[in-house]
Amino acid sequence: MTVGRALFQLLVFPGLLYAVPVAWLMLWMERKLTARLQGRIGPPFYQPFFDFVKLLAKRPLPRPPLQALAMSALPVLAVAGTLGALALLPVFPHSGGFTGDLVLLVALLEIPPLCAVLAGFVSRSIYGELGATREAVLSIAYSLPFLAALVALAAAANSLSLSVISQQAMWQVRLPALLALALCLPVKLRVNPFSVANAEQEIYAGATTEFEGPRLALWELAHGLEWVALTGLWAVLAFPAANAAWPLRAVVFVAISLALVLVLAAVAAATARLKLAQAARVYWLWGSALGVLAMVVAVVWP
Amino acid sequence: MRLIDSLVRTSRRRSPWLFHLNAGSCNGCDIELVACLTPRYDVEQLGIRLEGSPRHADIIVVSGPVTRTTRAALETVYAQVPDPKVVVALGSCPASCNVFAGSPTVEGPLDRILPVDVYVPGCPPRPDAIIAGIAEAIALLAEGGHA
Amino acid sequence: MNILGLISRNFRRDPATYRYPERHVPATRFRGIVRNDTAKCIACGICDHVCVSGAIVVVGHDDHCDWSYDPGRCTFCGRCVDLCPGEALSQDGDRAPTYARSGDLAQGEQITYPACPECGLPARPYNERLLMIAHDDISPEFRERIKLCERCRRRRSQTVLTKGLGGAADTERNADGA
Ligand code: SF4
Ligand code: SF4
Ligand code: SF4
Repeated sequence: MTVGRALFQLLVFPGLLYAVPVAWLMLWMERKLTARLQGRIGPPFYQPFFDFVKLLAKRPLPRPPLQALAMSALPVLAVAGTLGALALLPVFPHSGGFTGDLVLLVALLEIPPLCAVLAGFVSRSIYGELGATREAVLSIAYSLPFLAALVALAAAANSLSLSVISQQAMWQVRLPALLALALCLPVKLRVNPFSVANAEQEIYAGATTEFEGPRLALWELAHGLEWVALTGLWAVLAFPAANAAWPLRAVVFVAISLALVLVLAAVAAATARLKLAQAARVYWLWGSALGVLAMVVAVVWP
Repeated sequence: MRLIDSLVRTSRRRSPWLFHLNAGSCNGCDIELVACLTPRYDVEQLGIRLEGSPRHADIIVVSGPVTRTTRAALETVYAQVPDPKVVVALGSCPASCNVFAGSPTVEGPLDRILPVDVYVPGCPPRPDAIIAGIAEAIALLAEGGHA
Repeated sequence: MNILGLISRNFRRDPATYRYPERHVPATRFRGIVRNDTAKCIACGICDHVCVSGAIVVVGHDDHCDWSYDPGRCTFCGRCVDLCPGEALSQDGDRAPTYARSGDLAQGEQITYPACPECGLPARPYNERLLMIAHDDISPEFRERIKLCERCRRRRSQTVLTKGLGGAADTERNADGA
């Protein structure tokens, strides 16, 4: 991967320039569809953008220096990590990438939840800590199916390179793996029925309860970018057609991502929040079953 | 600079987040405020969100006559909301203590404790009165609140 | 899977929301802020007496009465309206505007007492309905008397009484009083 290409992927597509507006678009779509399914009008189109600007323009509250530093650095790290993960998505197959970028992607995708856990503890509010604890418990629960699915795909393609995996993993493995990944999306994005980590109205805003103004704006942005990155990852893995022209690939990538947002929002609107133990059990049991199935198929299939 | 200023102003107008504090109210006003979130009134159409944490809020909505036990919480919460902020008093209680006036456990009315920007009349106010009050507050917020 | 039917029905239908600033018109018997029609008010003070939250305060003076009302204190219970003997009070059919300072909506009315037809000093106002409740049979003479100020009325009663008794006491008493 050349430097120019890497910069393009980081800053233009599917990185910054694409991801930020689409992040706002996805946040809006999620809120709007939820509202419509509940018989409401819902927020106007520009809502997440204005939320972001407004939060940026608020005056931060005075805090002890170290806490202020940590509370500013963590959301920045979350945004940066997610952007990095986005840049690795092999939307265009021969666009480079390198062996082992799968490992880097997994690591980068783990940064936002990790930052959220730390943020919850750094903020020293009981709601933040409660949210952080739940986030940590859930991330242990969903990591098993999430990683198992990716490992199965890697084994099936016999490579650790994302672009090779997205091209060559066979469908017998890909199907259960994609299902397992799809199961992990709601919990990673903290939407119903797996929204117990930031359980709105119950523990206020979970880990970000104590964050205000610009710091919260960055968290909102990180959250939006997570939507783009995770739905994007799923879209890349679900659409392998190697010889499609690049505009078609880009369009299909965006279309699958947005469709996934709609599905997730609809599921969220139709379900109620599961308790922590129930949510963890879903992942330990069904998630792992799917992941293990994918892995077994990947190893056993001739 | 002018452009940024007007962008900030617009965004404040389009995205007011509320924090609701019950300062000893009878729950009447609180129910009406929640009614504003229902499909019928859906304040999300104005970008309004009811936030659980005062740190996220722009508008503090207070109901109730401010009892002795809630006074400290009220002051803490007010300090926790980042500037610019606006205070909306919901119903007759924060305006005058209403039927609770003269009780030894009541320390209100609210303007003795916080600067109040908008009073919404009613006991409890109708949801559309609450929305009108918040719209008023939004206009103040866009101008920078009383920071 | 009732919820699926529910949300898909919501999705197909138009939203149930009133688009701001469109709003719901209040019900016909909506109890808004209280208004006093001073022409009908007889300054009896019953509204002050029954108001639980002390929103209405009635203070009587020699020649007039101050009626004040602060919607910021009102619970909109409507008791004052129900019990007002003069039917002077009514409630708005719609909500009041929001306001910026406590007490901004307060209203003060002055009820001036009519002049006594005999001496010209202020007399307490009365109304027909109250009269009908108190006395079902009203003679023209009585109707005359009710318009007088308290002092003149007392004197008139005295005159009537003493006339009935023979007339002697009248001169005596008048000589004393004058
Ligand atoms: S204003 Fe009326 S409804 Fe609201 S809290 Fe006070 S008594 Fe209850
Ligand atoms: S007449 Fe009605 S308004 Fe006037 S003082 Fe009596 S009760 Fe109040
Ligand atoms: S409506 Fe009730 S609270 Fe309001 S002034 Fe009349 S009696 Fe008092």
